[in-house]
Amino acid sequence: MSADLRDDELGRVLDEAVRRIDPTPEDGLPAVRRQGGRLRRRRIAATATALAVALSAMGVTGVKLAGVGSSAPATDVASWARFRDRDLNWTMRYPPAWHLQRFENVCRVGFSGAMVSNVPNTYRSPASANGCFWPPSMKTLPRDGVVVEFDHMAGGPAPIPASELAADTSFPLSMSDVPVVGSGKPVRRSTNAQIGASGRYTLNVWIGEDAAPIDVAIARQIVASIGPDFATALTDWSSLLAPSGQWLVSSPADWYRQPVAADCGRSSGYWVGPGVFVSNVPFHFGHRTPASGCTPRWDLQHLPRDAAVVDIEPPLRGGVPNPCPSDPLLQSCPPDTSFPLQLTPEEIGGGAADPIGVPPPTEYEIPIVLNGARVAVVRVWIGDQASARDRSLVTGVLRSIAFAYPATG
Amino acid sequence: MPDAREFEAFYRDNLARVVRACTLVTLDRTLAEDVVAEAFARLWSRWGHIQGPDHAGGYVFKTAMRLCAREVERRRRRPPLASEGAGEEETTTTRHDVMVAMAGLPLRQRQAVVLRDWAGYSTAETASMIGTRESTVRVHLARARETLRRSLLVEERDER
Repeated sequence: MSADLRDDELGRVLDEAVRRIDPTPEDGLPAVRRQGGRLRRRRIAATATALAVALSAMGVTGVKLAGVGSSAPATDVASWARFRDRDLNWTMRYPPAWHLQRFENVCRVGFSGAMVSNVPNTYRSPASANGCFWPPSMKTLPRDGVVVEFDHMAGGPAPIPASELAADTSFPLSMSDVPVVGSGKPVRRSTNAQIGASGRYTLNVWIGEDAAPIDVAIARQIVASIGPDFATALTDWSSLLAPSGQWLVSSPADWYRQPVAADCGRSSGYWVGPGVFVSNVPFHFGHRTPASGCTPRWDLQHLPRDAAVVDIEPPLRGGVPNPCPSDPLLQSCPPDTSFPLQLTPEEIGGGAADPIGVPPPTEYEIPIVLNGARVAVVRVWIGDQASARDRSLVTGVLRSIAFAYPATG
Repeated sequence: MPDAREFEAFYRDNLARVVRACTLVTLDRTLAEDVVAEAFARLWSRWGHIQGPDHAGGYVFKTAMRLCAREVERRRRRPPLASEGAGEEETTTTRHDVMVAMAGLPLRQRQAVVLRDWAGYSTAETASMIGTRESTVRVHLARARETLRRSLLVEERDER
């Protein structure tokens, strides 16, 4: 067949092979427009710079082109773009000229996060015929390439196991906090991070062997810009005041908020409530265990496995807060509680799996002590199938809890 | 100010076509989508200078083909086969066979056959897009077609 004639049969075979490839335009359009805008601005700046150089060479004086140039704006973090992961509550800033690539639920365990780099298209799918490897290979990174990547791992063993969780990572991070890993090229630095009592975050930095000092400096500033971002998660939240008027708690608009009346404990003289109960699923407290003197525990077997629950229960004895350590449920009185609340390893609990092997929700208990009195207990339950979003939103709920003292008597 | 709605309409109408072409050339859908995103970004950066859909189509195909070539050469390794970076539903025998056959072609031959026989550009347009002469494109096409026919079409006949 002549090359000037189209081989339609071959064209049809090729078409058959790729006709199912149907990318969703909406997924990539915003990034395309942003990147296109950057390229246009860069070209205009380059043209203006060339013009300025030409005019300067011609001896023309008094020409000023404000904002044209590379190094000064590059290190001005205030002018940088901001990436926000509203579901996983972290943020990062990066120069507009750098390239942002976001990924969601990569590999079986679900890595989600973002990568910024001074060269385009550094992100490669970690999936291959031999499996899915994370972090993705940077073997094709140019020698002058610099990459900063931050991710959250939804499933599998957490990078920081629950038994090793401590207080949330202290941000901002410094590059010196991020040790070099391995001895390959490009140099890779990596560290794990904890945000909102979740040890599932990891920072990776790759620096090519011929990276420009300005790009390394920018990478340092990007690393320093990474941190928790609960404020954005709180924008669409609603608040609920407990019936006592003492407790104010906020939760996402699509969560359920229920005031709890005073209840239980008649035989032990221990009273619970009134309080507040917020959850990501419609969950009613008709399951409160009625036996054993009505202990202030929920019947967790009825809690859905994807549930995330925060419950504030002011424990009252005869209508007033229990002084420490006379509270029968609290043998010693810890120091006054500091706000905002956060989950710490000491509160981690959870019972045994039920007879059919369903793991119980992880349970946290935070006693609230003010002026030597135990004024409340905040309980948290997170089901084993709760989403990463809901797990992180629990942290936001806890941070929103505010208390007005003194108690009613 | 460039017309964003026009660009968006063009993007929606042509994204799949360009991604498919780049997938046939790079044999890696993920890489193809990255490359095509960059090609469309460059198109948007020059949208004010684009004169109509044909001009836009030629520009984005030409840019995508050059970016594909750059990325493939940068890798300098055996191109991944169909299962890599592709959805599970796409690993049919036909697709796999085509990708294996395409993987056996040099980059220029892949580009030539995709642009001429799949996308339907003329030989002259194909030559312009991959930055070579028409006579060279003809040679690439002849060799690519012979190889592909031998590995695809002949086998199809054998199965009947």
